[in-house]
Amino acid sequence: MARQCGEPDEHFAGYGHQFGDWIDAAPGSGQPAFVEVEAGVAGYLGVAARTGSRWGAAAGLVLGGAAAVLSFLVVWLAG
Amino acid sequence: MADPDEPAMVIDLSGPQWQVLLTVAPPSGRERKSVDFDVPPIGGGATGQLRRIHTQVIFTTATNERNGWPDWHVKIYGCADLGDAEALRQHLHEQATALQRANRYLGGTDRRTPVEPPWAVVPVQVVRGDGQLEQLSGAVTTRLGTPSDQIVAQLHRRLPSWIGEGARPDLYLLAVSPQIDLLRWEPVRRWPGTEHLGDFRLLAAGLDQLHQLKWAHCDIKPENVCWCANQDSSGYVLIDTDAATQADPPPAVLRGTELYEYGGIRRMRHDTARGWNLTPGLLYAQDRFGFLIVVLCALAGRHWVEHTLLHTDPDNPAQRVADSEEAVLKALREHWADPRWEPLIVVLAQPFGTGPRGQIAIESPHPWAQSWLTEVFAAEQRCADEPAPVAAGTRTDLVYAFAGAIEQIRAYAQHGPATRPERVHRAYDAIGRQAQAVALRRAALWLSIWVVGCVVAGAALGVLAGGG
Repeated sequence: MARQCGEPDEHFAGYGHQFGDWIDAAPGSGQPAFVEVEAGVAGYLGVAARTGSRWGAAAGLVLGGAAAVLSFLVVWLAG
Repeated sequence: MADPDEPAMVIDLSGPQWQVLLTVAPPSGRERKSVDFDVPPIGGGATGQLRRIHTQVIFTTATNERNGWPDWHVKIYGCADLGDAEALRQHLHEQATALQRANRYLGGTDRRTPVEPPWAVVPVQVVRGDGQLEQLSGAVTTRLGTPSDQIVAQLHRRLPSWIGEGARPDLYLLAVSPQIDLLRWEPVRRWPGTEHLGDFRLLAAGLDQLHQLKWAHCDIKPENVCWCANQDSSGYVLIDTDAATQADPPPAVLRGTELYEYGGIRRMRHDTARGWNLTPGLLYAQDRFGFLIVVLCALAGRHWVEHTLLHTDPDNPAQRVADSEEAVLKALREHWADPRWEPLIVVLAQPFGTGPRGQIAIESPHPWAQSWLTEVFAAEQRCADEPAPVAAGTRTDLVYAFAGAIEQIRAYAQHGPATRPERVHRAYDAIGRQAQAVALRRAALWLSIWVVGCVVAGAALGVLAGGG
C-alpha cells in the first residue's frame, strides 16, 4: 500500500504544523487550512481505494473467469 | 532508610484561591550533590561583588494531597552557616519570583500558575527548613510542617532523620517545583518536524518575558525542555532553573553546559587574554542560542544537532558548524535535500550569523524569541508546494466520502495523553491502517462483483447452450 500511496510521514510532511493543528482541532472545524489537510487525507484514502478496486477487479477477473467456466459447464451438463 | 515512626514531612503552599499540601518522600539513595552559588551578599546592593555559597543538595519527590499538579520535585539545600542560608534564600526567592512573573504573562492574569499550567518555565517555591512561614515570593506563602495529628513529634524533631542526624533546620532551604515527564527527542528527522512548532509558542513568550524582567535561564538544552499539558493548553516547558540568574547586572561567571554554549561565550572562555566580561546581551544570547538548538532538535533530530550542528565545521576546523550562518545553511541543505524546504532553512540559519538577524538580534535586550518563531511559521508556509493541496475553502466529495475514516484517524491520534509529535505519528499510523482497510474493502467489493457477474454470465451461457 505504501508503494502505491507513499509513506504517510513523507506524504504529509508538506502540511507542516497544520497537520498537528488539524489533529487537535474540533471535528467539523471549517478552517481553510484544516480543509486542506482533510482533502489531503481523503486524497490519500482515495488512492488506496482505487488501488484496492484495481486489485479486486484483477483478482475478480481471474476467479470470476474460472467460476464462469464452472457455472457454464454445470448448467450446460445439467441441461 | 526512613524511620516508619517518624512524622511525615509536609509542605504547605498557598496562594489566592488555591492550596497545595505536599508530602515529601525520603530520597531513594544517600547521594548528595555539591552545588555552588555565586549570589549578591545581603545588603550588598549592585556593587557587583558576589558571595560564594557551598551547598549540599538532596534530591527527592513529593506528592500533592489536594487539587492541582500531582507530582513534585523537592531539592533540599544544606548551607554551612546562617549567613549563607539567608543569602541563598534571598537569591532563590528573587529567582522564583522572576520565573513566576514570566509565567503570569502567559495568557491572562487569572492563571493559577504555581499549581496549574500553562508554564514557560517550571515554577519554583522556596520553603524554609526551620518551619517558619515564608511570604517573600509574591502572593504565595509556603511553610514546612508536620500533620497536626503528629504535632507532638514535631516538637521533638522538625527535619526527618534522612536529612541528617542533628541537622539544624535553620540551615536548610527547600525548593519545590512541579515534576514533568522528560521528552524522548527523535534522533534524526528526514523532513522538518514542523508539527512541534506550535508547542514552542508559550516557551518563546515566557523566554521573552523573562528577558524583559532582566533574568536569564542560562541552561536551555534538550534535557531541560519537557512537555506538559492540562485541559486548555499544552507546550514545552523549561525545567532546571538552578543556573537562572539576573542578567542585568550580569554575574561574573556563568553556569551552563559547554556543548550548548553560545559562540560569543565560547570565544570569551577560550580567549581569556582579552579580558572579556559577561554582558546582559551575552546572557540573553546564551538563552536564545539554547532555544534555537532545542527548536532544531525538534525539527531536525537531536542526534543530528549534536553530531553535526554542534560539531566541528569540516570546512573550518577552528569553529563549530553552529558558529557560522553559511555552515548551518550548508548543513541543513544537506540534511533536508528537497529544495522546497529552502525558505525554512534560510530563516532557521539566520540567527547563527553576525548580521542584523544574527548576532545583533540575539544579543539585543529587546524580545526576540516570539518574533523569530513567527518568522519560522511564515517560512514554513512558503515551503508548502507539495503535496499539492486541493483548492481550499470547501470540503470536496472525497472528504465527505471518507468522513468516517478521517474522524477515526483523528480520534485515534487524540486518544490519551501524548505530545504533539506523538499524536502526529499516531495519525500517520492510523492513516496507513485506514488506507489498508479501505483498499481491502474495495478489493473485496470488486472481487465479489466480478465473481458474481461471471458466474451469472457463465450460467446464462450454459442455459443458452443447453437450450440450443
